[in-house]
Amino acid sequence: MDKEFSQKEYAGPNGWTVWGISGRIDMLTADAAYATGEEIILRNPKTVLDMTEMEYLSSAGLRVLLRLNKLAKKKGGEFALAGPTGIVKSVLEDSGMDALFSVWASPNEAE
Amino acid sequence: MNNNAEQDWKRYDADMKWFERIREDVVAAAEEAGVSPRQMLKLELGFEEILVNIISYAYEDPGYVWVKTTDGDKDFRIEFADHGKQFDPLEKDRRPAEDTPLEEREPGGYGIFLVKQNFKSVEYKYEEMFGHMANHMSMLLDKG
Repeated sequence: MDKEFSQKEYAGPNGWTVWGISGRIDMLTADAAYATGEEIILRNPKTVLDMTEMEYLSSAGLRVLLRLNKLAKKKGGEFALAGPTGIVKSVLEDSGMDALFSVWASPNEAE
Repeated sequence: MNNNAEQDWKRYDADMKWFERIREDVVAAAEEAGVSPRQMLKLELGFEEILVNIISYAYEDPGYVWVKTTDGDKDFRIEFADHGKQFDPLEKDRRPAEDTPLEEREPGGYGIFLVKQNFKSVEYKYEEMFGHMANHMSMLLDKG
C-alpha cells in the first residue's frame, strides 16, 4: 500500500514557518492535511508549504491549499508554496492555482 | 461480444469505505498492464476525481459503481458506470474564471479539468447498462 503521508514543521527564514508534507494529499489524507495546516497558520499565518517530498496532489489537495490560502490572508499573513516537482507541479500549473500563490524553488527562499 | 457485458466489470458499493479497495484493484491492473510510474500518477488523478464524484453525488440512496480496466497495446483504459442521476462532467469547464479574486474562488471545478489534461481521451455516454440507464465514463491513458 502506498499511502505514505507524513508531516514536519520548523522555523524558516524571515519569520516564516515551514510545513513539509511527504507523500500524498488526496481524498484520504486531505482532512488531516487541512487540520494540521489550519493549526499551524493560526499560530503563524506566515507559513510556507515545503512540497519537495510531495509525490501526489489531487483536486482534493488543491481544495486544501485554496482554503489555507484564504485562511492565511484572513489572518493577515500569506500561505506560500515551495519546491513542487513532477505531477504536483503539473497539477498546480494546469489548474492555474500556481498564480494564486508565491511559489519558490525552496523554503529557504521565503522572503 | 457486447462491450458492456457485466462479467467484464467489477461492481462495488458506491461508498467511500470502498475507495481504497477500488484504488488498489485499479493500480494492480495498471501495474500488470505495464503502466509507467509517471503515468500511474495521472491514472490515479483521473481515477480519484471520477470515483469521488460518483460516490459523493451520483446517488441519494445507496447504489453501485462499476469499474472496468482494459489493457491495450500502448494504452490503458479505465471505465466507470453508475445508475445515479444523469451527469455529464465534460459538459462545461467548471473552473473559476481566471480573473476571479481569491476570496470568491470556490474550491471545486478543478478535478475534471485535470482529468482532461492528463488523459489521451475522455468520453461520457448516458446509455443503458446492466438493466438501467447509466452514466458511463471511459478514459484512455498512454502506458509510457
